[in-house]
Amino acid sequence: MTSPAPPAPAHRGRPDRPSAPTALPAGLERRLRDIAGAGAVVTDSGRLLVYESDALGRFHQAPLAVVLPADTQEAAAAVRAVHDAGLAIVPRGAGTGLSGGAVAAPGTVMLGTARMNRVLGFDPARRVARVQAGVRNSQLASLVRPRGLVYAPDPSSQAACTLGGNVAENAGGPHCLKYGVTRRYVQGLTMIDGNGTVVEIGGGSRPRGDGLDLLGPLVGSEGCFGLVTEIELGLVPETEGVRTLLGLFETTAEAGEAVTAIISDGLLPAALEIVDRHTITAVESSPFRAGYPRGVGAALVVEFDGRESELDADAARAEAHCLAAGATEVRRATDEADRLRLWQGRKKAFGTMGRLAPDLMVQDATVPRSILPEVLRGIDDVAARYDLRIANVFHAGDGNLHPNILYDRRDEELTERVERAAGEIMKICVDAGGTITGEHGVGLDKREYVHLVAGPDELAAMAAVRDAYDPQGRWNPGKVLPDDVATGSGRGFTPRPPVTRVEVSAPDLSVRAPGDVPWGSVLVAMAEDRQWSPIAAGSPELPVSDALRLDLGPLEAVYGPVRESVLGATVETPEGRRLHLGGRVVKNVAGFDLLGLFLGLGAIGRIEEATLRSYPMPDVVEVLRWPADVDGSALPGWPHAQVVTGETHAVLLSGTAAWVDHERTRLKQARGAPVSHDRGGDALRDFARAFDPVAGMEGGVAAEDVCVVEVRPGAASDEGVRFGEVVASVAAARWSWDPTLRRGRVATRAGEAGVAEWTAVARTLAYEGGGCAMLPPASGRAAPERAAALREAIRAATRHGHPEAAGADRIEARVRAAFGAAFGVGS
Amino acid sequence: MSDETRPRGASDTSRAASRPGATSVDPIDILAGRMDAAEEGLLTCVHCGFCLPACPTYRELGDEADSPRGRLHLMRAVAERRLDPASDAFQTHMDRCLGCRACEPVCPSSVPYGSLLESARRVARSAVPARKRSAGRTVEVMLRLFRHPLALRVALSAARLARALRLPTLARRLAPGGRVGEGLRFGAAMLEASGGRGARPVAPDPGRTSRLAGAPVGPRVAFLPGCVQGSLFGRVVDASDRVLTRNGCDVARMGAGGCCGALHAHAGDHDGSLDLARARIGEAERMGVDLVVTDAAGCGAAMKEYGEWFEANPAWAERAAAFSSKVRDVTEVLAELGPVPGGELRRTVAYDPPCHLRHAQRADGATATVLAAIPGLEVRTVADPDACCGGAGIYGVTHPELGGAVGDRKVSEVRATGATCVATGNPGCMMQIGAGLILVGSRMDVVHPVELLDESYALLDGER
Repeated sequence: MTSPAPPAPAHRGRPDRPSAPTALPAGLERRLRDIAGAGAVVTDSGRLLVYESDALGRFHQAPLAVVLPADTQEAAAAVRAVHDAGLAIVPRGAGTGLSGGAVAAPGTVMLGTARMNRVLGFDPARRVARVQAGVRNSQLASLVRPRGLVYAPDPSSQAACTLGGNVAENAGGPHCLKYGVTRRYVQGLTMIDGNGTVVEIGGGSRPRGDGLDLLGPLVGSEGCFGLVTEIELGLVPETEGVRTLLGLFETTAEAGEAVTAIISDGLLPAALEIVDRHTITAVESSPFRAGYPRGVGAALVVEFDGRESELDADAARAEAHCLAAGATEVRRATDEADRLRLWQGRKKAFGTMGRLAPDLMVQDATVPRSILPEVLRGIDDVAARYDLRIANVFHAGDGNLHPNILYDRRDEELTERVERAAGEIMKICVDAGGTITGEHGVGLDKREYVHLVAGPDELAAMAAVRDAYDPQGRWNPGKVLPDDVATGSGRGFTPRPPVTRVEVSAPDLSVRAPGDVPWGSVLVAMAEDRQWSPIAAGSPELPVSDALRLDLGPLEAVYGPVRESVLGATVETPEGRRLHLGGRVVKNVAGFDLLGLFLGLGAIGRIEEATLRSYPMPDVVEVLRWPADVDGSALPGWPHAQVVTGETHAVLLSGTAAWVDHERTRLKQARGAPVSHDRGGDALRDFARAFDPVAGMEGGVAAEDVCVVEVRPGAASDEGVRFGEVVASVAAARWSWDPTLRRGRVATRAGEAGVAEWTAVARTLAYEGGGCAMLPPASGRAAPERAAALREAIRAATRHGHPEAAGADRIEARVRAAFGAAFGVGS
Repeated sequence: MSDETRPRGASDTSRAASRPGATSVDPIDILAGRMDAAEEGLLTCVHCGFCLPACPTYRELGDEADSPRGRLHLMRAVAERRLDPASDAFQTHMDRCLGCRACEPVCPSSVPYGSLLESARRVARSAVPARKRSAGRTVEVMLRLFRHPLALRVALSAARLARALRLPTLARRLAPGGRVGEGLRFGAAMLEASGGRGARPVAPDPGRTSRLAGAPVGPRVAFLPGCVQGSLFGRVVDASDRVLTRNGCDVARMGAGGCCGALHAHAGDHDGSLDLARARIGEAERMGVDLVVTDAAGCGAAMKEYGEWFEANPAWAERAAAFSSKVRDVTEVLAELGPVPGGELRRTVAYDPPCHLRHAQRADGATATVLAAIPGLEVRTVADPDACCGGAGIYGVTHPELGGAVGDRKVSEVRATGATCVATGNPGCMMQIGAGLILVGSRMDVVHPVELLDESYALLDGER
């Protein structure tokens, strides 16, 4: 006989949740088997034990049943069946998570995505793949590599973890210093809401327009908002080459100084990883020896990728910084095998520590990278005071620490000490301006620590947004938010004092600015520290708060959406609450990510101050122009920012002089000699303005009754929805087209372009699987009533092709309602 | 939060309880005694899940109970007495593992999965009477047969006779539908596949190829023909013998029908495996050789582990360790000697490493060296070489559906190479892949890598 079941963990769901059922309701098992097949439903108590924990291993609770559907339709049917039975659902990918996010709450059904493992589409030309949620990260990576493309996020578990799980956790990895985390690459997805309704959100062909960023909060929502079943992911071109260095230091502090020096020098390695003395000892005493000399106290892996001709120079500079910071030795990989050897100590760290002690508490926290040395000293101090072995492995470039505490949970006193020490480490990181988790998520493990980074208002807002996606509380109950959201007093959370002037922190690659200063003054302050930001490239006169409502235009092709340039913000909601969102670190998955809701053209509320990601200032900025009819199809390699207008095809090049020379040569070979060639800041401004059709209208922005519509042709059409031809049907339209991101903008006088004409345009595009949306009057000048009529006509015509879009509209309405904001905020 | 944690089952039972030489124990203690991480037990598993994508049954079924981590979790639940070893969950999932050990190389904590599985199967086996075991009587009958050399020889001779009379082809065509029928059809195809013509078009020489004149005197080698290999793949055994001899080895064959005990260990027949191991150790000692060589990867993997099997048994530990240190796969010996090149053989071969060579012995690199000694041979690697072919003994007979699904993947990868024959170094794999090819109507030959070298030597001799 089996022994008594382990005590049920004290999860509590949302306060209104009835007490958990202990048995599967009659008929549900049969219904699930009919939907997914007998082999895809697990109800036997012995088998269910296998699903009682994830890779954290600290929390145990078996679900009532596990169902493993094979596609979106089966999943939706299964969700409806579970919904009808009145139960909640816990999504699970491969169970590789480290925060207990895929552990069942009592009385729930688990929905696993392991059988949803097909790649649904891969378009190398558009650099996008559509996958089912259970496709493994490395499965996608190896599918696209032969076509010269890379799926950039590379969490350590990439061989096993699913992309659905990556989306749920907003997964990072060593290479996200340069390439960003999962959110940057999610272009659209299919999710199932609590009723079993299939909802499409985003997607390459769907315009954002005045819509809210509904994707942003979903990425990293840890399965609490709905079940993601299909994902459209962006890919990046493989770089020409890679250089890997290993610096050996006597102390971690020295290694940390080398990191700061490298970043401050304007170098942007693909990865910067440190392992400390304890980790080195563990690795060296394992079968995976990396061959570090005796007495080494820290090892720093620096990896550059990019163009062959520049890599050696970059590597040489990094090597010099290492030596200057006190490295006793710097090794360079000579070939791929050598490179893997240098990575060995880093990659094998976790597994080898599993051999040193029965249990390992894998921690995860992020701090501003310039404060790393101080924080490390603080952690050493905690280890000494609590008499614990703490080994540090970390993504130093992101300031993402993984202090690992070795222990044996059979020793209760020790376990209790470990918990207290972990709590102190969290406090140290938060006090240093960091956060409680950079990439592992909150799950069950860190719910109590969320109080350190969010006060009552922030927690209430997170709960409200979660409820807007999942009004009935059907998804992954009891995760992420602490139990006492409603009553919690913001224990431990102290908002940063308001900023009164622009503060640039070059070593952290960040800048903090009040919302009401002109964007141009922020750029000037950054320039003094050789920093730069792609935001509002053409509009330095706008205040920061308005600059963050624009998107990056064609620069998005290079820098990602505006959300990727914003680390944190203080916002005022329409009902007058002040929320402190995000922080000042690059990786941050503490709680639900609401920041995106306050950015972009459809933003809710007002930005009071913002902390932005900065980039090393490009040495050269250049704009090349060709006639509009030149063949502008994308060249292999890193994408260019491009704009086509009625007259010209413009390409922006920025970076080191060598890079710009190289790219100019390539473009000339492909497109012939440019008709013009400008350099410097004005060239950049002109380029950015070219995408803003209002700026080009007769009479400029002063013109009355101007509407701006964003247009995206569908995936079904090639470049050939001849953008100009389609929009030419609208009288007096001015347009611009971004060939890299395949989207366009049209400005027209509302009085001249009737609702019927625009409806026809929207229908044409919707038929092609694309869409168009009105931008808010802030960027046009239409009379509100005319704009509203036009917007409704366009919405209706566009939705024609996307029945599932209605689900997204409902979610958006509920999110706006949660903040007391009506549709169309921004006027 | 501490109320959400549960202490892992503490175990007082020493590891020795799981080892031979200990007096009879509660079977659960076999697993309970294998918890400690420091001794490479169940607690070494950090539950990371890196093994999931490496596992053929998980890839096929998507159920974590059919993954290595899931099975380790079930083993731990039994050790912690949270799960009855007679439960359907434990019985089914321990049985359904192919034992390919593809999970071992990808494990960051180096969990000794194969050895833990053997302990778990011991527990599973002793928890349920034979007739109720999920694999059923087929396995039990076979295990008993393999313990008795004489009975085994009779049975395998009967199989050879049936093969010569083309009975398998008939049976395959007449087999009824349903699970039993599918199993029968596959079994018949396996037997039919074992009768392939191999690499040599005709057996060219009556006796053994003698050592090349002037070749250095190599090691004295005890060659284990293996029970299945020896009876059904006599041509492979002969080829190994000739090839070893030509490369300077002084080859003496171990007794025909002598089983290494691997099948018993895999099935959880602990006593059976130890009896056979003792017999092989004694035999090798009497022969007084430098190396013990086999051309069956499964046998090699087991014999290399004799040392661990007898670790806690003072009477045998040293002898077993000495034996294991001498064990080599035939390709390892050839690679160490640096194989003498043969004559030009214009063929395209698909190479698929047996799991017990690649994952268990981690020695499949030697095969490349052997094949490289054949001028003109074009070797194509079968995609996804880490994946099991589904052979796993008689898995295709006992688990026709799952074995078939796993095997189908391998067969289509093998065919996708476009090669004219496929080489793999284990009789089970040769029969499994061969059966799969027969059932899809392919005419690809299945050979052992040494057969190709042997043929290449024959061509060289023919030119003279």
